[in-house]
Amino acid sequence: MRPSRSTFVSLVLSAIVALTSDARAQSCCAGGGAITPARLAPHELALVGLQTKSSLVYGDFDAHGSWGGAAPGSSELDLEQNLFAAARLLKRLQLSLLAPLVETRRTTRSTGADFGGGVGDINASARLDFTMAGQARFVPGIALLAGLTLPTGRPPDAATNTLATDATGIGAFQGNFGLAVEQTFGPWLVNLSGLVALRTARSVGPVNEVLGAPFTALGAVGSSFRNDAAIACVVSYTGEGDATINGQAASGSSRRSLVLSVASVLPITDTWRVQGSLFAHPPLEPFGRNQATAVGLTLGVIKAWN
Amino acid sequence: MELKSLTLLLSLVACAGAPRTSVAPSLTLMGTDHRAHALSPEASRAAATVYVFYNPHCPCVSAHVARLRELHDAYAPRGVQWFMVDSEVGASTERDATFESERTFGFPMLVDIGGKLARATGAEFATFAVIVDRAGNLRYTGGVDDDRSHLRDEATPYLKDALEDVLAGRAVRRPEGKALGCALQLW
Repeated sequence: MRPSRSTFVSLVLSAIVALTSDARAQSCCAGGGAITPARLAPHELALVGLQTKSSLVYGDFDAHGSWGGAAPGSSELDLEQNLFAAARLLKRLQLSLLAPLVETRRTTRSTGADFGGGVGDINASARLDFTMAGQARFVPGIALLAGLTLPTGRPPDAATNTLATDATGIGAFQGNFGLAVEQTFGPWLVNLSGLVALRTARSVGPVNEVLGAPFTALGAVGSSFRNDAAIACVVSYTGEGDATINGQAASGSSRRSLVLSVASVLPITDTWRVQGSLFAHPPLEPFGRNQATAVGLTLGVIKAWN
Repeated sequence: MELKSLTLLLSLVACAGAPRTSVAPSLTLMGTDHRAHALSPEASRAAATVYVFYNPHCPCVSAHVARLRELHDAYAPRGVQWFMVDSEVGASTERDATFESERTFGFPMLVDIGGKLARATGAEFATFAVIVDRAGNLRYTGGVDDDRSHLRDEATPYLKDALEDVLAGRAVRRPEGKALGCALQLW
C-alpha cells in the first residue's frame, strides 16, 4: 500500500524532530540558516551550497482569486537546482550569489507530456547586519537586504515548447530592497522580513511590458537544539500589482501568493550541513491570485568555511 | 526617534568594535564558590589565569565542557587558575551556581555583572577564552580551539598552545584565535 502524502509529511517531520534531540540550545548559528540557506552564520567567512527543489502543482488561483483543482488529466511538476555561494566581505556584510537550473514537466490530456528547462534567473544579494540577534536583550538584529536578479532565464514569451515548459525566467531585471528584524529568546529565533522589488520594462514585439512591483512579507519562528540543528516554521506572503502593457495597467494581472513551510538545518560537522524544507501554497482564496498552488520540498547540502 | 537619529545609531552600533585592553582590568567578581575574585595580579599567585566566557544555552559550550575539563586537569597542577565567566544580562550567583552544578566544569564560575570583563577583553561569543599572565597582561584572546560544536581530534588547540607558550615564558605564537560560539547577550 502506498503511503498517503500526509503520512509522508508526518514521517519527514518526525524524522527531523528525532534527529534534532531536545530543544535546549540557543539559536546561535543554525537558526538563520534554516530560514535562509545561503546565509552565513556570524562566524562563517564563506559557503557554497546546492539545493534541489521539487514541487507538484495541485491547483491554481484565477485572476479573481478563485481556487480550482488541477484539471483531470493535467499535471505539473516543477524542479529546480540552485547552486549558491556566499562570502563575508566585512564583519557585518555578506554577499551571495544564486544560480538556478529550472525544469518543468507539464501534462495535459490533449497535448500529452511536455518537459523543458534551462538556466533560470541568476540572483546576487547582499545583507548588511547593523545589529546581531541575541547580542542585546531589547535591541533585535536588524539587517538591510538588497538584491539584483538578472534576466538570464528564458521568459515565457520566448519559450518554444508546446506547454512553455522551457520558460525559466521573467525576462526583466529585478532589484530588491528589504529589511530583516530578528531576535533570539533562549533557543527560539523570531524573524520578520519585508522586501519590495522593482522590475525593468521589457519589449516583446510591439508590446512594452512592465511587470507589477512585488512585495514579500516573511515571518518565521525557529528553534535550535543541543546538537546545533534548527527547525523553523515560515510564512511568506507575496503580492504583486498589475502589469503595465504599453503604458496601461493590465487589469487582472496582479498576483498574490501565500507559502507555508517547515524548514530544518542539521549540521553534520562544523563546516558541513544539510538543509531541507516542506512547503505548500494553501488553497486559501483571500491569499491567492493568478498563482499555481503546489506542495513541495527542498533538500540541500552546504559547505562553509570559518 | 527621527529616522536620521536611528540611522546614526545603527551605524554606530554596526561599526563599533568591542574595546580591548592589553592588561587585565582591575575588577573583582563574585564566584559561584561564594568568594570574591580580584583579577589584579597582586591578588593572584597563579602562573596564569584562564577565563572562558559562558552562555548557558550554547551548543558550542556544551560540546567543549569535557575538553575544558581536560585542559583544567592538565594545567591546574602547573599553576594555572581557571574560571568560567557569565557576562550575560541576567547573570547572577544563584543562576550560575545552577549552571555550574549541571555542567560540572570542575572550576568556579565568575559573575560578570554588567559585562565589564567581556567588554574589556573583547569577548562577543561564548567559548571566547582569555589568558592573563602573572604580570596581569592579556596574552591570548579567542577560541578554545578551531572547533565549534563537532569536536575533532585534529583541532588546532589555540588555548593549549598559548598556555604552553605563557608557561614557558615565550611569546605566544598565536595571540588571537577565532571564537566560534554563540553571541553573548551583553546589553
